[in-house]
Amino acid sequence: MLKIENLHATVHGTEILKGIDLQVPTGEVHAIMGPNGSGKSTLSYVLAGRDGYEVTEGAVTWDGRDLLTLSPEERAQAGVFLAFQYPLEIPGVTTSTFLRTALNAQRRARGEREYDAMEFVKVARAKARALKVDEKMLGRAVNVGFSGGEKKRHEVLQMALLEPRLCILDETDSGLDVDALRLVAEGVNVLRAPDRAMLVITHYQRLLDYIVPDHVHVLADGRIVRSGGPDLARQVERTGYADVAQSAA
Amino acid sequence: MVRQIARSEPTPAERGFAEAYAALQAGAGGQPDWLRVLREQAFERFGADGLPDRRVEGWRWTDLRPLARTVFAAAAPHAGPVAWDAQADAFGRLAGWSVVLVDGFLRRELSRLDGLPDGVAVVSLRESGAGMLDFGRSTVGPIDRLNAALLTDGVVVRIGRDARPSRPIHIVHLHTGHGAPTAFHARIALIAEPGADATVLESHIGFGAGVYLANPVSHVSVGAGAILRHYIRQEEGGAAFHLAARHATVECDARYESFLLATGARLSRHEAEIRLAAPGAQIVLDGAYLMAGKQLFDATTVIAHDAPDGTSREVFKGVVDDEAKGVFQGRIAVAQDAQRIDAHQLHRALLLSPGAEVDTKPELEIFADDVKCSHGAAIGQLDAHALFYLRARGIPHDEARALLVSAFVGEAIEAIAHDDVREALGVRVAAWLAMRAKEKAI
Repeated sequence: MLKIENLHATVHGTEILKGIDLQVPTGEVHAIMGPNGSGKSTLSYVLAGRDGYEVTEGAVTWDGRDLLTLSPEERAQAGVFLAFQYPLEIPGVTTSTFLRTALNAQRRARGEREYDAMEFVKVARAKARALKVDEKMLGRAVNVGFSGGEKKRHEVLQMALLEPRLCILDETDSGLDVDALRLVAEGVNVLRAPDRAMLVITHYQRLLDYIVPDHVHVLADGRIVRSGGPDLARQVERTGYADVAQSAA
Repeated sequence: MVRQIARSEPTPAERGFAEAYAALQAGAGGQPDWLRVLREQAFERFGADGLPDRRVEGWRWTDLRPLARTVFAAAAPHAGPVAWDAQADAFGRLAGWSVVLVDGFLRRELSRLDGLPDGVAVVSLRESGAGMLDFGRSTVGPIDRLNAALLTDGVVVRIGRDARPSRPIHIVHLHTGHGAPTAFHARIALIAEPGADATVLESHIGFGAGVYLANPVSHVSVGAGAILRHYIRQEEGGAAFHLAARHATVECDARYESFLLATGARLSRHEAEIRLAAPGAQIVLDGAYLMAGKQLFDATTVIAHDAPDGTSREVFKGVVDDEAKGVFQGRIAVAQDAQRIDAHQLHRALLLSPGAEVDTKPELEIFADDVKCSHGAAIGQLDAHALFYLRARGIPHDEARALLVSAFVGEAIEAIAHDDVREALGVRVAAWLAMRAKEKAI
C-alpha cells in the first residue's frame, strides 16, 4: 500500500503541496484530477525523488517502507515506476540498451541473475508485441524522433518490462489523439493486477473513460479537496474544477 | 608574430635538446647529408625561438612549463623485448600488416611486413631518401622543428597507384619510458598515390609510469581520386608528454578520413594541418578526447580549402573530468578561388567536475564569396533531467552517468566509416569509462 500523510513540499522555495493525505492499496487504481498548477506533477516528482522537490513535512511509505529517504534508483528498485509526462530524449543510447540496463539494474538489486543480450531481446520483443509496439523502436535512440504516441507507448513498454508494483502515470494522456490514447490505455489495463497499485494523474476525464479507476481524488491548491468513485470524474467534466472544489468547501 | 620579449635563459629541456642535437651532428657517421642539413636548419630555428610559452599565439592555454623543466636524454635504439601483443591489441587484431617503432626506432623483427600487396611499400625514412618528402611545410611550428632537429628514424608507407590493400596497415609507436626521461622524435609519411584505397591505423602506446616525450610528426599525401582512412589512438603513459603534428595534402577528388581518440599522456597536443589542394577534395577530421586527473589535451587544427568544390567536416568531442583540461583551436581557411566549398566544424565538450576546464577557439578565414561554412562550440555538463530519467528506472547514479557519457562520445565514434575500427574504438571508450568508475568507487 502507498500511504501519503500530511505531505508538504516546496519547489524553489514555493510551497506547492500543502498537506496531502492519500492511501492507495495494492490491487486498486486511483485517479488524481486537478487543474493546472494544483500540484499534480509535483506530487509525482516528489514520489519519484526528483532533485529540487523538497519535502518539508509529512511522510510517504510504500509497503511500510519510508520512500522519502530513498534515492530515485532505490525507489525504482523497490517497485515504484513513474511514467513521465514528458519522456526524455537520450541521443546515443538505444532503447534496447536503456531497457536492458534498467531491467538488469533492478534484477541485480533484487538478487536475481542478469539477462544476457539474447535473453533480453527475447523478453523485450515479446512484451513489445503484446503492446503492439513496433520492435524497431528497440533499435532507435531513446525517445529521439518518437511521436507523442510513441513516447507514451514506450513508457508503457518500460512498465510492462520492469513490472513495478506501484505505477504513477503523470498525464499520460497529454498530447495523444484518441487512437493513441486507446492503445496506451489498453497497455495500462493489461497491467492492472491484484498485487499492483496505480496512481493515474490527469487533467481531463477523457483518460478515465479508458482506464476506469476505483477511486477519484480532486487536487486543488496542493490539497485533496474531494474523493469519490468514478462518477466524480464525470462530475468534474460537467461542472468544472471550480464547482467541485467549492462544493467540497 | 614577432616576439617582443627577449628570450631568457634556456630552460632545462632546451639545454637537453641542444646537447642531444650536438651529439647527433658530431657523432653518427653514415647519416645522409639531407638529414644533416634538415636538422641544422630546423635546430637553428628551434634554437632561436625555443619552446613556446603562453605568451606565444596559439599556446595561450597549453602551458609547457612542466615539460620545459625536464631534461630529456636522446633516445638510443634498443633491442630488448617489448611486452606488446598484436593479437591482444585493439588495432593490432584488425591489421593485416604492421610497422613497429620502439622508442622512436623501427624494429623490423617486431613488425609484420611479409606479403605486402603489390604496389604497397614500407621503408625506413633513412632508406627512402629526402626526395620523398617535402619538409618545407613541416618545419614551421615548434613541434615540427623540434622533431626535424632531432630526427633519428621514421617510416614511409607508400600505397601505390590504384593499390587496395585488403586489410589495414598498422603503425605502432611503443614507448617503454623507463629510466631517465627520454625524448623520441619519429617521422612518418603516408602516401596514397592516385586511385589508391587504404586504411592506416596508428597507435601511440606508453608502458609504465616513466617520464618521456613523444614528438611524432607525420606527412600524409592523398593523390587524385585516392581514398585514405587514417585512425589514430593516443594512449601514452600517464607521466608522458606527447607533442604531435600532422600535415596532410589532399588532391583532386581524393578523400581523406581521419579520427583521433586521445586518452593518454599527462600533457598532449595534436596539431593537424589539412590542405584540400585541388578541386573536389573531401576530408573528415574527427576526434574525441577523454581526460581525467590533471591531464591536458590540446587539438590545434587548420583546414585549408585551397581549391574549389571541396568539403570538410571536423567534429571533436571531449569529456573532461577531475582537474583535467581540454583545448580546441580550429581554424578553417578558405582561399579566394575556393568557391562552392562546404566546411563544417563542431567542438562539443562535457565537463564532469567543477575543476575541469575546456577552452575553445574556432576561427574562420574566408576569402571566397560562394561558400557554405558552419561552426559550433558547446561546453556543458551532463543533462540532469536525462540523469533523473535513467535513475527513475532503477539505474544507479554512476552507471547512469557512464551511460550518458558513453552516449555523448558514442555520437562521435558512430561517424567512423570503418566498421571494425568503429567497434574497436567503442570498446576503448567503454574501457576508459569502466576504469573511471572503478577509480571513483575506491
